[in-house]
Amino acid sequence: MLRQLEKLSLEADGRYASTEELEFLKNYLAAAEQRISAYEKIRDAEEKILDQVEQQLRAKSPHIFRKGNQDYSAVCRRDRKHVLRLAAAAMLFADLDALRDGFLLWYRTIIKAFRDEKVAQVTYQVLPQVVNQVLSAEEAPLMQPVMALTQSILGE
Amino acid sequence: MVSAAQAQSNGSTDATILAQNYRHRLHQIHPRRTNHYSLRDYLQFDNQRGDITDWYNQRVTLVTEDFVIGLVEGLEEEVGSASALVMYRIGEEWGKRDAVVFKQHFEQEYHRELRKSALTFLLEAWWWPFTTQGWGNWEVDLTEQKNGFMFINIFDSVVARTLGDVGKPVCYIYAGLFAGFFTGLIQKPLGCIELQCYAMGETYCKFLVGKQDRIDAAAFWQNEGATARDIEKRLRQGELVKQ
Repeated sequence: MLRQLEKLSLEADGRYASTEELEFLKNYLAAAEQRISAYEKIRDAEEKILDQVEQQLRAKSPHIFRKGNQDYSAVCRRDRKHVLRLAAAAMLFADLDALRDGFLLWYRTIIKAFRDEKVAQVTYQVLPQVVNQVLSAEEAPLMQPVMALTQSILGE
Repeated sequence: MVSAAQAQSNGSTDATILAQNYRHRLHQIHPRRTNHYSLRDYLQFDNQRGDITDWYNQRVTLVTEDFVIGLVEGLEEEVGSASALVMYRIGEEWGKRDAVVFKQHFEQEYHRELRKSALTFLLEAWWWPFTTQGWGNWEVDLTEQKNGFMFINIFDSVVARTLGDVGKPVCYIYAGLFAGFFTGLIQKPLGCIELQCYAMGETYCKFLVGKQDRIDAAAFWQNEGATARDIEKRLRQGELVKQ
């Protein structure tokens, strides 16, 4: 939304913006309260969401966070927390491009560098389901495209 | 459009002045942030000063494809067929210096020594600024690292993309850059050769980085007409040119 606003302010410089050009703003404002509410719910339930994701991942594979003799639970939790916060911010600002360009594309290469693709695949299947549980029926669709983008880039 | 950063070296008066005068605001606000590779995060456009700086406070210049053509063709006009070697050497010097600068940046940013970090991770940390600045995405194949060589694929090389299908490898500056950087990184002399190029009608550019005997063998086979796939197969089988 912020990028669209920036684009509109440039393109409509010296003239009135058309009804079509204002459409994104109307749509954003119409759902702004739900976005804020969803963001606050995710923020307040962050630890609970991370706990549940971890439980579900361990249930699927008890040694999912182990590599050899090393336990990477804390590192994985830190990274999931980071992803969740950025995803929630992307939903709040309705800015998927910023999430993709500023984080997901980079993070995918880091996952690949550490050969964590399989863990990522499971993690980003589970995360959207858990996040959905803390959101209302009106809020969940706002987070859905963000989670879908995250899953498609990190969980391939 | 591609951009090139002006690398700073420690101890230089000019470098100190640059470092004092140019500050990347987002980096100052979020010094520990590691996901800073979108163009708008990585580069800081200062309209008032009329300059661009990168995440590490280095001056950056944006250049057009016309500039790249001018550089390549102008050099060819000046030095003829030696232009390939000149471009390689430019890249090599750049890479060697960048290895020094990268080590400083990496250790400041991740608070860990370069030699104690996973190679695949530090390589991503090295190449991301290049990706952001338009030098292309890459893919590194380290499966033959123990045998003294590795492959790098570059997607969307700025040189090859700009020159188009000219029927020969053109990315000498990349080859030199890889040779110089990896030489600086492991402190052993390494070379690099482009085995296939987008400018030869391929879909991406492929480079071999390794000890000089591997590079010489690959160059020999390439001159004999071998394809990148043939050369790769021979190297993986441990074949070298019979002396």
